[in-house]
Amino acid sequence: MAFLNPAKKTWGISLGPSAYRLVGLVILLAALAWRVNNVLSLQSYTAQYWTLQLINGLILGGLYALVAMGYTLVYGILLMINFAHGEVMMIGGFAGYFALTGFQTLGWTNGTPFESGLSVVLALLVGMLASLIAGIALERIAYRPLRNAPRLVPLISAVGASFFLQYTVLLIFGVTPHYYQKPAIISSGLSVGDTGVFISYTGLFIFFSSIFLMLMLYLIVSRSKMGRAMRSVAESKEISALMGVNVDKVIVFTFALGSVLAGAAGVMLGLHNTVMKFNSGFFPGIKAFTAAVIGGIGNLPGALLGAFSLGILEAVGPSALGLPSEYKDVIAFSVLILVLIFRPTGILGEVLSEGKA
Amino acid sequence: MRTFVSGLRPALIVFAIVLYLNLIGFPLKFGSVAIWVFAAVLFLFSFVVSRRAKGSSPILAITRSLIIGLLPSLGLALLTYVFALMQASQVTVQAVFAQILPPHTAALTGLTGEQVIAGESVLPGLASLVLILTSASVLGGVVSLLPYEKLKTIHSEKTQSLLSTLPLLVPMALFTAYLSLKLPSVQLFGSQENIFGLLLLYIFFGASLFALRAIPQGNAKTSFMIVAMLATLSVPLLNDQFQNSVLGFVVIFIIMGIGLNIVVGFAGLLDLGYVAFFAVGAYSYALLSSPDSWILQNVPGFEGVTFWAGLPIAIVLGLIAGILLGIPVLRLRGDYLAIVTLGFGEIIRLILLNLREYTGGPGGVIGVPPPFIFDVSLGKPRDILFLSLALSAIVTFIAVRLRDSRIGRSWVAMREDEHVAQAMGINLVSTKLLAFAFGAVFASLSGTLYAVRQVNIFPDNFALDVSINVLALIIIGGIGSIEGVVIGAIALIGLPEVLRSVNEYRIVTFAALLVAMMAIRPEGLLPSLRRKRELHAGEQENIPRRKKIAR
Amino acid sequence: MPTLLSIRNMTKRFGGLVAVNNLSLDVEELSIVSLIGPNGAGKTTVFNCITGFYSPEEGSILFQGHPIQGRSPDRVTAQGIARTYQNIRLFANMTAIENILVGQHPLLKTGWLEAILHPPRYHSEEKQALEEALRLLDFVELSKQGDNLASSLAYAAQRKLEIARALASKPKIILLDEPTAGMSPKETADATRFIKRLRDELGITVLLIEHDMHVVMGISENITVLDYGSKIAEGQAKQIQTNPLVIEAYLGRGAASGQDQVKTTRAATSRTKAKPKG
Repeated sequence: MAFLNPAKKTWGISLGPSAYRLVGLVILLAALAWRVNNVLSLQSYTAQYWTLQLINGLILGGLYALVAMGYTLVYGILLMINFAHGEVMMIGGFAGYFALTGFQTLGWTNGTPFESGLSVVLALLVGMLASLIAGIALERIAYRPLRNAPRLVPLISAVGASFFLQYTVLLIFGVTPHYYQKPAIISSGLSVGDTGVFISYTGLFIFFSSIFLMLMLYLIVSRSKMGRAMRSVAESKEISALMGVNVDKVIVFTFALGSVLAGAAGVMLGLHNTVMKFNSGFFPGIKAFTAAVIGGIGNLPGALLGAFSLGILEAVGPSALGLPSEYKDVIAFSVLILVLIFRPTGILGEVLSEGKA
Repeated sequence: MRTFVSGLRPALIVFAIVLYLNLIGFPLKFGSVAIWVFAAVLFLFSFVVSRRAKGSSPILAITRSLIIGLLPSLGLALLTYVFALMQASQVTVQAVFAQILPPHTAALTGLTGEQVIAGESVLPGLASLVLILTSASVLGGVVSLLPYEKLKTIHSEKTQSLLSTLPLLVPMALFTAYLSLKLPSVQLFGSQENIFGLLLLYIFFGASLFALRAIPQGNAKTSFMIVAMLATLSVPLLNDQFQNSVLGFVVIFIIMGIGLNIVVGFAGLLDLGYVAFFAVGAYSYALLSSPDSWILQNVPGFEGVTFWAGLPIAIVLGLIAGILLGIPVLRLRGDYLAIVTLGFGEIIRLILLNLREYTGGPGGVIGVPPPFIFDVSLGKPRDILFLSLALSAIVTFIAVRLRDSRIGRSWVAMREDEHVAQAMGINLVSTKLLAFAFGAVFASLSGTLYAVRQVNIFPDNFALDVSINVLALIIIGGIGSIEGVVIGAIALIGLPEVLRSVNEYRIVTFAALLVAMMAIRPEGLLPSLRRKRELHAGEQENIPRRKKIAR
Repeated sequence: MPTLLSIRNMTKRFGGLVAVNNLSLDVEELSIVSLIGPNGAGKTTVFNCITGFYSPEEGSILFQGHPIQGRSPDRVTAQGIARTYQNIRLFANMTAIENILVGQHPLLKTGWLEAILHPPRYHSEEKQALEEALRLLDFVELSKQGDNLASSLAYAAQRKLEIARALASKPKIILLDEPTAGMSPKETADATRFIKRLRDELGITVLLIEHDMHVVMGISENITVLDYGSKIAEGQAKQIQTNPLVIEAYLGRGAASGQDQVKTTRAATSRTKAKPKG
């Protein structure tokens, strides 16, 4: 089941003496374990608490996974980080917001369960469509002209595109945050017996939709003709072109796939967090990228694994380490740095030997 | 029919542009002037499109420019009509599009806001809108038909020698204009005088830098350089406080730009978290000198360091930060380096924000004292500007020396081909670390200056957009070159300070510029010649070498 | 003459693929040794292992008696080993003379502090470096092209520049990876003479990967033949030419019989993978 597994991408200079790194890693893990132990012995967290955090982590993980897939797909094909992917997600979130508001004025969101459910699904689709357009435009305008430029150039263009999209949205739609109104059908949740564990319907919806979408993605990539083309372009653009593959179309399709998923994630983010601002895509985008790297970039199952790991780490980490919850971003970044130092190929990436000369 | 089709795509593109400018609030911001802005856009666009499609008959060109003008303006008119209707029916359009308020519609249609709400007809206004925009586009098409090739062949001796003195004359004329504004008898712009003075200075500096590039080595160039430097030194004495304050800000960013230029331009490492070192410099000095800081309040007997002691300390701390950050991160490849450094930048800001006890949290550190020389305070903007200029001169000197040395060559080799560079005996980690360290030191230095200038510093001053700003100014100014840094700083830091009224468009403009420049001119405005070659590898371009060293 | 470079039982694997299998090879000081074999035999991999780009899984590489396997490339170069590349890897956007100056990196001692302060030591070192670089340019007959961009040089000139750059670090041994690839017969003859000069005039030991058998047979004192990563023959020119295993490796099975001399052309040396191993 090898998805876009770029086995031969080089990874940079030979890493320093691995003994030092190993020692460093051991020390770090020991320190963390000691700290966690300390915290747990002082604070008494109930099993219920941990379960709630775990659930939260899974929900986050589902969101991150949707966005991480987009990163990893684009990276597998173009070997570039689509810095503006988070903004594509945000655009989907905004579109979903407007769709839901529209449905609200139509009375659907609080109408019959069917109407309510329909408004959710349609909002999702609208968000996905908006992100699709944004993603394709992004590729066409900011990336395609730079296909053959040295790697720094598209990256800078991506950074520019990211900020352009953010501040455009800010200017056009204003600075006041937009608040999602959850349709009635997903506004409450279910309790698990009398354990006191409460799972929101929104959370359930997010989790299962993301699994569903990822399944769809997997089917497309592994079974369809386009998916095959994608994999071959990821291996080698030149040879694929020689084999008659329309590389441009494949690249657009890849962006489209990733963007559609990101759009869905954007709407779900809105439903989960309620608030949608111009920079709502920025941090989740970086975290989703972190997730892709943790799992092994260019590798779809890796993105999934990394996303859920990160989600859980973020949900559980601050409590376990005794830090206030604002530190969850610090934790996410630190995990990224640690992974890049100790295992840059990610969990599911292969340990590659450097290919030179 | 074919004309129609060939005009369709440009029409759609320019419609998107005009729609964009409309939605981000140009009419709201600029009133009816926005119409002329749109007209200018249409004019330029149709001009460029016509020039590109050479060889078509005049009738074709004009018809096409008619389409390029008509379709977008009709689209805009239709949209505005719809908005006007909604506004007349009390529908709050701004709930969705924040900039579409009645004054916005009014600006486009020649009415007032109240008239729009009252439901007065916008059709006359819209008609004239369409007329103006379409005419502008047609005009662009017509003007493009002029025979420009003839102009290029005017090569008489007289005009040639005249043109070659232009690079020297223009800066001088600008500086003279600037000086004339300072004369008490000249009262041209009233309260806006200092802004115009600044603008003149900016163009003067920019023109001087371009001139230095254009003029060949020789007596003319040397004397020009001397004159320009004297002029620059006299500026702080001639300026008023506001002007000096703005220039001080620009010079602080120049120092940062030179530092980041070493990291990105020389060594080719994309650092997106540069603000971290800036913060280290600022907070180190602030925490060690301000009465508000935790250190001064809790360490008995410690009265704070002077600027002259604090600066080296801040530099050393910046160096340590640079090395600590550099070591784990330098093994990473380009894109990852970017993200990780970005992460570090954010982590530093979050720590500054959250460690309230030690860093003052969101309240920051207030009351940073100015430098003193023998009891004379150097806190005024003019003093800070002189100080910054002096430090920037030192920093530039160091950067130039490094660039032309063995280490500079190692950086270039590393950028060219890392593996082979390693095979040449270049230790990649220490070479990269050196670049990183210098970058950190320069950033830290400018951070200290910043703390002195601001007097009060807050974590929000050290957010991601500072890193992006510095990166943008290097890239747009010209990658790898020091003149480029100056131009970039003037354009991206100096101009916005002067154009405060359009501050909300600042980031969008920078970002769009970044994307556009990467596609059109990735090396920036005044790049190092080597970088220009690198970025246009494979093209038939004859870019001269900087100097010949082999016999 | 003492052994300068010694590879002992070296094996290099990439995942499941064995690129170099249990190779042992000695290079005597001041000798010219060739490493030959069909494409894909692992020759460049051997170079990469020697120069530190790859770390062999098994075995050792000794240079002047000291183990260097697994050391980083910059350390290896500092020991006195230099190389050129199969696909010319010059610093394209640097001038010829700048390329050579970079090559001198291991010999130059001034650091960043001297670069900033320009003490007399810095000036004298830079001056010497420039003079030495010009001398090297002369040696490879590129004196008039010093300020030209490396990418603008003619192909043969680029190869010469690469050698000059390799010589800049004053190595004891130079590893040349297909130095005559793409050259005309005259250029090849020039290059062959040049390689001899490296040993005869500069006292540098030469380890050579080559496909052109005229060159190989003409100047090598010792030839090692690789096929699919393993050494299949070693010896002097005459022995190698008549070795059936070698002939088979290059021309395929059945060619061994009825062949006195191997006259291989470039076409013959590129076999398809479909040819069965003997």
